[in-house]
Amino acid sequence: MSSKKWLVMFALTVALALAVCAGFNVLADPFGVFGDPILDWYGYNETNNPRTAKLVWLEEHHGDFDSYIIGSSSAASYSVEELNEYLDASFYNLFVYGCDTEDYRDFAAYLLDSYEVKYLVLNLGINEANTYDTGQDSLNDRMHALASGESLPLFYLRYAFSNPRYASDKIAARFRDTDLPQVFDVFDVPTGCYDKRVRDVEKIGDPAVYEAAHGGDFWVSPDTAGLPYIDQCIQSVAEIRDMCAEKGTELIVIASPVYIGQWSVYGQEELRRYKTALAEVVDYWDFSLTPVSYDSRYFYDATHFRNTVGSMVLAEIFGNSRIYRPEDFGAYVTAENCAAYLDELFTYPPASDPDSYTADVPILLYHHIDRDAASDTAVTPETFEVHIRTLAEAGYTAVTFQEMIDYVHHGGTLPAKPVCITLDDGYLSNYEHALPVLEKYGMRATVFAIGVSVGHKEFYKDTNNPITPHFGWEEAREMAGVIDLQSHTWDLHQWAPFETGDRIRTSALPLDGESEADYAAVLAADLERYEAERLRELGAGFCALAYPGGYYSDLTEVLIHQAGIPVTLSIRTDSRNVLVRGLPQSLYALCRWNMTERTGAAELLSIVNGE
Amino acid sequence: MDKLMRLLAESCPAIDFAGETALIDNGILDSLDIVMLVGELNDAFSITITAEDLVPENFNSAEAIWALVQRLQAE
Amino acid sequence: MSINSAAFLLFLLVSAAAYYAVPKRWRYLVLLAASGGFYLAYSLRAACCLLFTILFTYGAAQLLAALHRRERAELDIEREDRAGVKKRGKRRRRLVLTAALVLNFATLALFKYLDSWMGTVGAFAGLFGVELRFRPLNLLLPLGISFYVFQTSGYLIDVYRGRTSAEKNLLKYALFAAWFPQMIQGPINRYDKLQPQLLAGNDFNADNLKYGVQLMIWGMLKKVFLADPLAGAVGELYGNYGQYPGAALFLGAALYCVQLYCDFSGGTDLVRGASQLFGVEMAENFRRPYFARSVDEFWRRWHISLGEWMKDYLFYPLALSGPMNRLGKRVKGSLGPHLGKLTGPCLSTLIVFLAVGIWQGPGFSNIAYGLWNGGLMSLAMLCAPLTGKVRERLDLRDGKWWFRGFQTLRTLLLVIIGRYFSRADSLRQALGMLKRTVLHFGPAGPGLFTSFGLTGFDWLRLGIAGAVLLAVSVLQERGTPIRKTLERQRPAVQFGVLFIAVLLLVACVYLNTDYTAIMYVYENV
Repeated sequence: MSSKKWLVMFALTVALALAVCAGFNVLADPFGVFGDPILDWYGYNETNNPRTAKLVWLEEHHGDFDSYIIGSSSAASYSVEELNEYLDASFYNLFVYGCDTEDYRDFAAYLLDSYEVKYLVLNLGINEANTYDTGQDSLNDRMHALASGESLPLFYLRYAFSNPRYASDKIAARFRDTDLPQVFDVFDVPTGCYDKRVRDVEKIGDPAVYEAAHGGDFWVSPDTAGLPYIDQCIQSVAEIRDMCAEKGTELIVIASPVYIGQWSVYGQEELRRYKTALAEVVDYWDFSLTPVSYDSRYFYDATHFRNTVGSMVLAEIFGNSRIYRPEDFGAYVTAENCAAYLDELFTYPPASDPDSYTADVPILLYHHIDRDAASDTAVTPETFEVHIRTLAEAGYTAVTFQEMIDYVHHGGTLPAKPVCITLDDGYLSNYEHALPVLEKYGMRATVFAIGVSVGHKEFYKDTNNPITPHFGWEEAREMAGVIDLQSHTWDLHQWAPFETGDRIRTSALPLDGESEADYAAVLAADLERYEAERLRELGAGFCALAYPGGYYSDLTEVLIHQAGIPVTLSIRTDSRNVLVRGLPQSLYALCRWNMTERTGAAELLSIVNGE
Repeated sequence: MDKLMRLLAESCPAIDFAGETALIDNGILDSLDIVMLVGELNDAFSITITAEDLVPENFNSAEAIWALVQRLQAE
Repeated sequence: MSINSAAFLLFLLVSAAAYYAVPKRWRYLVLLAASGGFYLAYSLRAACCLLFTILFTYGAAQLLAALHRRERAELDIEREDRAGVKKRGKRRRRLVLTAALVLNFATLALFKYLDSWMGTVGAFAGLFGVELRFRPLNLLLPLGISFYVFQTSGYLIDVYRGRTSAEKNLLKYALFAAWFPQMIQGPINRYDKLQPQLLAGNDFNADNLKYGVQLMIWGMLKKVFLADPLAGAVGELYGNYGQYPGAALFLGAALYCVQLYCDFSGGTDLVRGASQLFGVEMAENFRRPYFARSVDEFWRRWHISLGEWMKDYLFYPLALSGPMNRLGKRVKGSLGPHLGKLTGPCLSTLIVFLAVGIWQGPGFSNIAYGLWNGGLMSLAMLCAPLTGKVRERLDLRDGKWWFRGFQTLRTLLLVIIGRYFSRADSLRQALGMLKRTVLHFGPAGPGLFTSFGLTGFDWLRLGIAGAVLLAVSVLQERGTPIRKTLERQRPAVQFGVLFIAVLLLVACVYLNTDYTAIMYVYENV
């Protein structure tokens, strides 16, 4: 081969090698630029670069939507389902992390030009006046050329010849993917929101525990820059307003809830200027500084409010009284009322005493009540009566889980000194001994009965193995009003020695090696069975589930709450059960203090007093 | 020239000086050999070979070395 | 501009295209422009330093040339005292040369050694209770300063000796001093070899392009697939040597041998290949040094251009100098002819290797490295009669393969010991590592290999790359012409080999481009 031929061959091989790389990139499509022809995995693509992947995904799916949310990552906390209900529309959440107002304008222009848009919800935080037109050089935050106006061929070239490690990472991640969100797959593709299923099952309540776990997330560095981009931000908002007006699209602007730590970084003057300038170009809902701002538990970190606060915001805007929100939550700001509103906001900033929206509810745990309390889990009727009398005399009022749910979700009230008494498993002794005592002192309790053993007074299930007798539906109906019946699972608290077969479930955890899907199906069937049986026997479903043995995992919590069960209970005692209005997570994996024959009155009081 | 050949044969008995014309370029004489050889040449012919003279052209063959010696003797 | 970046490859492509596009007599200007552009892209300040060196060495060379002319003119007139004229001329030239060399090496010392040496002086003074503090200058080391200072110094000495005439055209001279491939990783080129090629306005020649490209690919592969992956592990072992058994440290020094060779020779291949694209062949710098059978031979195969420079400009002048001669004679008188003859060479060798050590860096560990090598070579010279007799007695001739193998391994061992010094940050570290290697060698199980950051997969990759390198080296050592052999293969085979190489090459470039693992894109789930 002559040298000239060799050089031609070299040039060809280079071209071929580049073509191989480009082909690999296009087919694996880690940024969702080329339509992800093989893996069709937009949860990954959007995580890598939402600016490209979301627009490309929309190209195919825009027919399903007529309305859009635009904003930065905090806009991820608005639920499209709620908006759909309030406005009878089909929303897609086109928020993008690390976005600024210039990007919003590009997105809005692209949407309005390309599709029919009924409503456009625009979420603005403080950051929008702090940064503007930040560089979009990296592959991870480059805007799609369709919206940025960059040359399309160049744009495609850039992604086609991006580092193939992005593509191979995606393929590798595919093998590690699970149903739950992962660091490489944080989006819920059909809605465009973040998939916060795991984040939102974090148990929250006890302020000391929250501070220990998240204190660092709420540190805000002093920002000497202030808000230098107010004018640019407002200019872009005005452009969006005009584009919407032109197309007949209704624009809803929300100034999102701000954590007090972030708020305090900026001077009153510049905040005032920002809000005033905004009111001059558009009417907007202002939720920036509200009572919620003062409690970090309502925020994921210093710059992101929780989904539940997003629900409060929408409930306020659309007047949904079923959803709790504090008084004095948000205002509709117009050019006319702006000055007066801001005067009041800065003169009397809303603050609230945590006692007005939180309640510490200690939960006690009993099992069997027996004359000879031989085990750690049984107490004698006498001791039980001592405990109940002590509580009554100390001024405690027993509460049910329904009351706790009303408090958290709907802004209901709880007595001054609440206590919650629970008895696990559903023993007949609860009916025989606990019921009279409770009635005597005007207290109430909840029994977490194992569904499958309700009514089994002699034998374990269908076996000939004798067990401690359990009460039946008849007794349950009789106890109603004093003793509430909730779930200890239908049949996930099996007693291994009496079981046959190889898939024995002693707790609600997945079995070893069980797939997510199989496990989810088992759990769903168990919940459904309990719900159906309770509905048939007692006329209503259940709202609380105590984990057998106290065992649960993130996945368990995700599945249970997804199924609509608002309360779960563990047997841990490492934090106080501080219920927070508007924070569903304050009812998750509640702690319970186990009562034994040796628990004296003084110890009991110290537990419920939280000493 | 005979004196030179004798001297060469004595100091580096393993090398065939008569037939070789690329003593340096082929790496037959290494730097140590050359330094030793220069010492002998200096003593034997009462000349002073300096570093400037140590270029391959002057040492590639016995003839070249002889030419160098003669040149230095003339100066 | 990193040499395995797409930007550098593009720069080469554009420069080469421009080179062959312009008329022949302008071609050297393209090379100068490319070199200037390359160096300016690196740093403006460094470019100023380089320009300074170019200007004053240019001036010094002109002065030397003028002195040569003056001497010749005087000789034409003077008939009686010709020796006197020559002597005076030489004295004047020597003065100019000395001044220029002092200035040239002073710039090198300023950038490369001053901070470290001042620190040492301060520490010494501290020992005697004198507090001396020097604020470190922390100057950015101009790219290739070690190479261009030596190269221009060699040129000045050549002009001084009259071996070469001084370049009158400043632009042409600047190209010689600043030719960009040599700035990256040497070698130290010689004026008489390099300059004609730079100025020739080389014809377009597909062979040159092909060989250049092949050499570049080969160098890049060595660097990316052997040197770079080893760097982390070697750094870990040297940096935290106290936490590893001696066996791991020895392994570390051996791996450093591989890393350094692949990095240095790979880099040299790359820049020689780049240079060849323009038809300019630069000096060879490595000839499979680890196959050497003696330390002396090792140094004739390792960093050849530095060794040659040292031989011509330091070793010979030293060994043949008057004082060395007189010392030799005195030793001969008192200790016998053998030692007398060797005094000059041995002492000169020690000094040369002291200089080689210092060339590598300012620390005492580098000085120790130089002395270790110089000492070994001097020892070999002194013992030559003895070892010769032993070999004769045992009938060990070069023909015996196992004896050659023994010699190679022995040399390798000595080189590896040397590497303790050349990589260590301080003499104390090097000695500490040696001590651990000797006194705490174990435990040395198979787990050793994965204890310092290299996984089993890394070893597999390194093993494959190393095996390819070894096979190629053995073939080259046997004199098999690798390229010719490849060219005789069927086109499909040639294509396959090339395609794999190019794929790896593309990987090299990608390894050097920005990349953010998705794990760090958005961390909250």
